[in-house]
Amino acid sequence: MTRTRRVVVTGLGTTSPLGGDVTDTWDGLVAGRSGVRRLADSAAFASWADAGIGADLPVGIAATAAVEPTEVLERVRARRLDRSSQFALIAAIEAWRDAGLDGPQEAGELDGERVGVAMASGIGGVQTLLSNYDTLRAKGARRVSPLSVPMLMANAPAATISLQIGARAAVNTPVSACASGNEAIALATDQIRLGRADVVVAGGTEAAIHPLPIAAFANMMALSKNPADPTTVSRPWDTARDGFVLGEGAGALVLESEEHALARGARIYAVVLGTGITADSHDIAQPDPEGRGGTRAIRRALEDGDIDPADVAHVNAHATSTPLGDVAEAGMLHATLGGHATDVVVTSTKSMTGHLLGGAGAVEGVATVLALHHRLSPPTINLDDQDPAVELDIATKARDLPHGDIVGLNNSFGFGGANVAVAFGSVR
Amino acid sequence: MARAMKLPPRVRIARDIVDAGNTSAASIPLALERMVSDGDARPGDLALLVAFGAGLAYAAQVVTVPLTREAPAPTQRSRRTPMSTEEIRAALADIVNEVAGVDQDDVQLDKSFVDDLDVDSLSMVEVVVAAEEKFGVTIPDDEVKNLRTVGDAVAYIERANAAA
Repeated sequence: MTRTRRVVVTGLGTTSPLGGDVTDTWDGLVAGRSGVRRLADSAAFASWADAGIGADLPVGIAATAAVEPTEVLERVRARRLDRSSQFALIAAIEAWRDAGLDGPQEAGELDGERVGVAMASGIGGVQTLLSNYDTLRAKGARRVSPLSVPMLMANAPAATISLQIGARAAVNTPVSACASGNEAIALATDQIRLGRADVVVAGGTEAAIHPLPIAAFANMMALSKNPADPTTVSRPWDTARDGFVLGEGAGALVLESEEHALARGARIYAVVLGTGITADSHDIAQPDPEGRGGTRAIRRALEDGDIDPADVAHVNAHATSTPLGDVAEAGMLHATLGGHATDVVVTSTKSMTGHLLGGAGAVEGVATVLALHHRLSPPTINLDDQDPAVELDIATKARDLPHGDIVGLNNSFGFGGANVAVAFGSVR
Repeated sequence: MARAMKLPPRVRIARDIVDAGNTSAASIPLALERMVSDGDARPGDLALLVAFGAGLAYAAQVVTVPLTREAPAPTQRSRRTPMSTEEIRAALADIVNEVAGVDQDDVQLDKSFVDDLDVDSLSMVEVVVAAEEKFGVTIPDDEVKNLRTVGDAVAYIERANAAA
């Protein structure tokens, strides 16, 4: 296929368990800081206790947002948004400004009909749904908020961003569980390549730290029940890993056609070289133990970008700290990168951020782009005893990446058998 | 007369003679008070007052129904001390501030929720529900569309309180 439109990354934004913006998050990642905390110390915990729930949770930790979104957004605006939309809006505004697009937008120099959004969510506005159900039970139908639907609907974060930046091309909400954020990057790339938009804000968000999702994930044996120091519990590829740690927050990337970015003299962080999306059709929750769907997604991303596997220098792995998934992903990298697999600097930033579900692929996309930009891989913390089944060169301290044209791979896999790989290329 | 003037159906006509009888010179103030109390005449509405008397003298005038500044006088129907108009306005202003971020001082009786205070329809429902809880009244959905101004809402709450 002849492709005339290259897609580049011109803006980054995030609010995460490590920081309320890109700078603090990146500094935390490079320093190997954990964002995992005790739930009992969180502001939300007291409100759960008031509602008589949460005391019997089998898991007492989560990677809560470093900065409360309600401290950032104007009060009335925040109360009309689910927490997941609050995160998404904060990340998108940062990315938009970082790309230098707020000025042109305000000056009316940007055609909103050529601007799109692909903002993913894994679960949607679950906290709004649950809190209004509590209200329904306690106070009756009349007290259910009339804003419930526009707050809890899955496309609320994307729509909120569309309103903020005047985006009037397609405004999408990819939903593929824990692959959602990365899928948004892939779909936004397609949107630009197909000429349907010049600029797309892509990313993912999640705000599911609430007793019901925690109990549900715990009961499906997905969450770690390790009672140790919270900062040591998320330990991808370590022999003592026993499940993921739930995180919250959002990541956003401004993707732009190279032509559009060059014409306005935008700073370019990286190029989106290739994307791959596949499905396992194996099990609703378990990964294919042979990782065939994930392997195909990585292979497609490499083929899509016409990438020589030898040019891949860095992988931001999905690796959530679960016994099966982490090993399966190592197998995928060997299957796709061949003998080069052990030369690649691999990391799992989830060791620090926890698992942001629908936000994960986006925050990790931001991290992958910055790793190429700074030529520096963030470490994987808590890797004290690497699983012998995992033959990879995993950075346990921040590690320099090579000069020259290099490729960074961002992998995400989700319940339902969703697999997404995105290959970013460095710029000089 | 209503037919002869081709008044549209939305015009409310006083029909209190059926239970008030002919109260002579008191008829217009009595009918108007009842229409205001029942919500048939709202602050800011235009009212056509027509009367005739012995000797067959006729007079008619069009007036604007004034804003209700004080609670309706007969308080014996309510055991508790009713909130004053200003107290209701101030409490409503707190609600509007909480829901829509409008400065309390801007929430005055003559202000339209939509046109002046930028309260959208969903926020209006939130205001109504919060007001129901705050003032212990019920405001049916059909009534909400009639609450155009802060004064409309305050008057409604006063009437509902008085009727309680």
